[in-house]
Amino acid sequence: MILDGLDSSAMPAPHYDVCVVGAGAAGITLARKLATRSLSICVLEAGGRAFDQAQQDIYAGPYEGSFAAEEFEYLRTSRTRMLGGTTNYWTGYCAPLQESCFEPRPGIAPNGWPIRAADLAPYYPEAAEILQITPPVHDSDAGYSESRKPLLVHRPHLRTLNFHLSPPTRFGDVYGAELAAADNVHLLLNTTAAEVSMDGDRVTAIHTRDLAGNRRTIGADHFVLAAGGIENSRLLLLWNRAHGNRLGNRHDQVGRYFMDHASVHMAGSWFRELPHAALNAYLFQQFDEVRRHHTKAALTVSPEWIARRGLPNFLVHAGFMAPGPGPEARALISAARAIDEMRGATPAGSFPEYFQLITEPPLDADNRVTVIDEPDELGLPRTQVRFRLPPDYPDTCRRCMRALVEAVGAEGIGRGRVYVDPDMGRWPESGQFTHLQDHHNGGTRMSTGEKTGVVDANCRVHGTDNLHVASSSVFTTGGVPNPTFTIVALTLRLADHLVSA
Amino acid sequence: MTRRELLIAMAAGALGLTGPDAITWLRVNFVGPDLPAQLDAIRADLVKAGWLYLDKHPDEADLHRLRGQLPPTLNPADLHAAITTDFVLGHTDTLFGWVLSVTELRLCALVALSAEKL
Ligand SMILES: Cc1cc2nc3c(=O)[nH]c(=O)nc-3n(C[C@H](O)[C@H](O)[C@H](O)COP(=O)(O)OP(=O)(O)OC[C@H]3O[C@@H](n4cnc5c(N)ncnc54)[C@H](O)[C@@H]3O)c2cc1C
Repeated sequence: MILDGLDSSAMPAPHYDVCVVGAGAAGITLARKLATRSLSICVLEAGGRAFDQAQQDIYAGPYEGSFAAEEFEYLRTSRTRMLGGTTNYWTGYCAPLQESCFEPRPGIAPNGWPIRAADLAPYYPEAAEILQITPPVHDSDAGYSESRKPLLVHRPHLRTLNFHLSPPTRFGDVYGAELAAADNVHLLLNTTAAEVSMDGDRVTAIHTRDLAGNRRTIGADHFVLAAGGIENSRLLLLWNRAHGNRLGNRHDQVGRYFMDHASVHMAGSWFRELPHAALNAYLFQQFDEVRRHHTKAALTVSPEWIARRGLPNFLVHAGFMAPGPGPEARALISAARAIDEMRGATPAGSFPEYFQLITEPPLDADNRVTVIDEPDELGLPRTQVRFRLPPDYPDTCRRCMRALVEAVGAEGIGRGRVYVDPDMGRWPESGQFTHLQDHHNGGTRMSTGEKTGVVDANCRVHGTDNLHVASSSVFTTGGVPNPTFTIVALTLRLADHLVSA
Repeated sequence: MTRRELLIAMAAGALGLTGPDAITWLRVNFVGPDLPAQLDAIRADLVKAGWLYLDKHPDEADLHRLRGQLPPTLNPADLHAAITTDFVLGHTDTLFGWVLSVTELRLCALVALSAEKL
């Protein structure tokens, strides 16, 4: 059943088995899954059925960091406050988080996740169905017809990472009717979770606000925050103010290690043995005739290659670039080609390109979501985000690109160029080469103990009995792929945990 | 002789340059009038690439040293293995943005120095 919180006569039940805060990718996935288990569920959704600027403005807040151009708009424009959440605007790129992202890696992620890739793997097939793509999705060659597979670069050192494209699924449109029809689900629109009551380590109720001034109290056995990557941190910060930092914040961890994917444009080019048409898989979305959805290929190097060089995980999308090589470079290419011929490799025509490089976001405790004194339209303190890339990040990007073109050389399929624009010296301040991808990871990260994070391996907030978190805010590391596929998989895992609890 | 064999011979000639026979061989084979124009252009590019490398590393402009740093033969398998190992281990250098293996750049440098001697 769907109720509109702005209608003062709308009366949800006083108590539910589970109360979910937020009806985006995570919240709707959880509510649907739990609804099949005959549990009573209340979903609180801050927004309504349609986009509303007044609601959206509640998301506004200051941004501080490396992306000057995004200073004032990041918090307001990188997410959506309405039924279905940010899936109303997402692009639909899906790929599972690579195994190595979960592992401890010196200098990159000292502790790793408290779970491993294998813990999440069983949930990706169902997540794929929810996102309207056809599993399996792990084999990067799968999905290409036999005739086209050899066109993909998938070699010992150089790897193809395939993104599977969701239509993209708009969760409110696709699954709203199902929730409306479910007797055991009450979806309360235009209703913002604002405060909590606690009894010892248990959350007993959530108190709501809305733009019409209505206040409600919802009791439940279990509460799940699924309000999006940034808002989960904000709510926990607000609730910790009132409850002596008992909700995962005894060690000042809530909001910390916030991450987004910076997309960095690097010039480069390579010549290769593949026919020109093969590059289309890297340049454009292609229809996967086996699975009947679109895919888009990106390039990366093998995990061993990354580990040996102490690099973060990364991938590159290829694109076209105007300038070709100058006379000196022409001689170098020609010489390298001649040598390739001598050594039995088979170089072909050159192809100037630019690469869009995306690395795993650096972990920095000072990159964080905080709340400021300025109130929003509901009287709640607004959010502030600091996300700054470290001074050596341009160098990290160059090292990643260099690893990629070295892998091209090692495979004997060409040579690569890493072209550093003179303006890159002023990067990232120049703001010319980068943009953020609006993937809000971290803030309530998963950890074995409360000194290094906010939730445990089951997404339960440290120090509480019955408060859980769903969404990319729990990501311990950001990985390289876009987050939603993993958000949905993690939420399905959380649903299993709640049912068994 | 195939084009590939000619390329290898050209580089092999450079490797054996200290011997007067090799100089003669190179003269006959590579600076003679019947050298195919295409190969001549490739040789010119190897020389140019070699000088680009030597400009950056003037201390390496020494035939004996360069020879010692290259695989003893220019057999394709050894050359391939040396270049692949360079890339795997990151033994590369960047010239005008292009990332090349140190072995192949030294080979170019050797051809460049050899050409000067001829
Ligand atoms: C332009 C764009 C393109 C993107 N493209 C991709 C892509 O290609 N692939 C990918 O994987 N990801 C992509 N993303 C990110 C993707 O949209 C998010 O990862 C995903 O929507 C997150 O799901 P979520 O449920 O955690 O949060 P959201 O979808 O944001 O849902 C959170 C919900 O909680 C509600 N809410 C917030 N606060 C409260 C409160 N206090 N009380 C009650 N309800 C509340 C909100 O209204 C919202 O409905 C993109 C994002 C953007 C902006």
